[in-house]
Amino acid sequence: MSDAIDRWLLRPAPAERLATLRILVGGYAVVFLMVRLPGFLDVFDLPRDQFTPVGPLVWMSSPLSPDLARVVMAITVAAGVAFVAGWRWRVSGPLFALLFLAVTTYRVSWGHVLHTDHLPALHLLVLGFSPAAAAWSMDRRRASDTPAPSERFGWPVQIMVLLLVITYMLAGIAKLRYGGFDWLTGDVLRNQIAFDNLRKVLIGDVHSPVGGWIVRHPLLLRPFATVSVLVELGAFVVIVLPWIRAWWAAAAWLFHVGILVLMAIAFPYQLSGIAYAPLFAVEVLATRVLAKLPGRRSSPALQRVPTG
Amino acid sequence: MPGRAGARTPPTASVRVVGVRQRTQARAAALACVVLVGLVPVALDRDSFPLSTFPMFASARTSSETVDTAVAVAGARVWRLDPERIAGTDEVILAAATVSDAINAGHADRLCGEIATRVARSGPADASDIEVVTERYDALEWFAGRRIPLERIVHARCPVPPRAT
Repeated sequence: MSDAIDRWLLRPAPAERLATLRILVGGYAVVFLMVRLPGFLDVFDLPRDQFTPVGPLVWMSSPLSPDLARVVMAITVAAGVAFVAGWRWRVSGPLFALLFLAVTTYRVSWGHVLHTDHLPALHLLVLGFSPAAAAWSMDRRRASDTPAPSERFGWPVQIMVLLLVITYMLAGIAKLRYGGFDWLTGDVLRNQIAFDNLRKVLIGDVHSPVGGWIVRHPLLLRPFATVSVLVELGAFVVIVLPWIRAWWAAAAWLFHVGILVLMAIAFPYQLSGIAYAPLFAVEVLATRVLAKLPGRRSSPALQRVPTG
Repeated sequence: MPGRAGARTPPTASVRVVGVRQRTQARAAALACVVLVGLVPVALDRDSFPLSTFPMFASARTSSETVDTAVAVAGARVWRLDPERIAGTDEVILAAATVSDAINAGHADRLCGEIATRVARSGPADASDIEVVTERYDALEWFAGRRIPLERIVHARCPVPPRAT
């Protein structure tokens, strides 16, 4: 058992795989912060007595002043750009990972925990403290060689996979724990879709007309509910049966598309596909894209190192 | 995290040392993930950030649930207000939480005044008053076209201040 875990965990990977994940996840986080900047700024002006710090900010007794919070946001975005570029990695890697954790924690410290930022925050923590700038980075721009594939580039990727699997399985467990087996029959999901869409109507937000329609056809929801729980609880298959990972990733992605269509709720990290990138040899695709860029010198093809 | 062999260590030993360090770090990280991210939130039954039980859409809701919100009114006319005008945020859940917190803390009047100020700046021009309310509907009935509230409690009502011309 221990040997099997070690074989899975310590699988060597090329430095470019971790570098590609650094660029993808870091790029996602920077774009997310910039696109959602108005939402973050709104939160800074919420009533101070609504501040209910959670997680790593639970020690805070009062919120930051809005001006200081804006400065922290600006530093976070700047650190994110350095993170993506792999510039001064020993500082920018951990700094951005921790700052992203801090600002996203701050955003959900006002009375309700949103669940869209957990996985990118956890993935960034793994990347930020890993050698993810050993290739394709500003720090390595003058280096003539690229490190050979190694377990030190592999295990952080496997930890990202493990986090992906754990978060999905927890979501599946929660549905059965709190919703009971009625979740599998679609009854709980039907009420959830109806309530969530009605709340959006009553609070003047965009709701899903498809969701409003489908709650009147409960038989259609039954397979969606069952498959949703199976996809979440079955996430571990990407570890024990690696050949199935593409199918599982596609099913999980479609599950989030379903949530978007039925409830107008977007999980952008999952919908972008980047959440599932650690499951694949993403550096191969990245090399192909780079090779097609105009004016780019051809570089030797990467040795194909399997995932798993 | 990257292991670094000593400069004077023979190559074979260097490889072995790096391997041992990596193995230890990797095992520790994997164990930390399973325990901290997987087991602790479930054991504590606590939804937090970034550790969570991920209870999205999991609670056993019935079809009739209450929603705390705020509306603009003028006589019998009712305008639904968006999260920006209700709470100064574009997050619908956060707006609902803001209204619920104000009601539970006995601050519904204060929130009503803040909303009225925002509505005076950029809201329905004909609205005369703001109401902070708890409404309960049968959500399934609502989407079937029967939109009579099962219950409606007005926690605060306040006038929209005169608009600047």
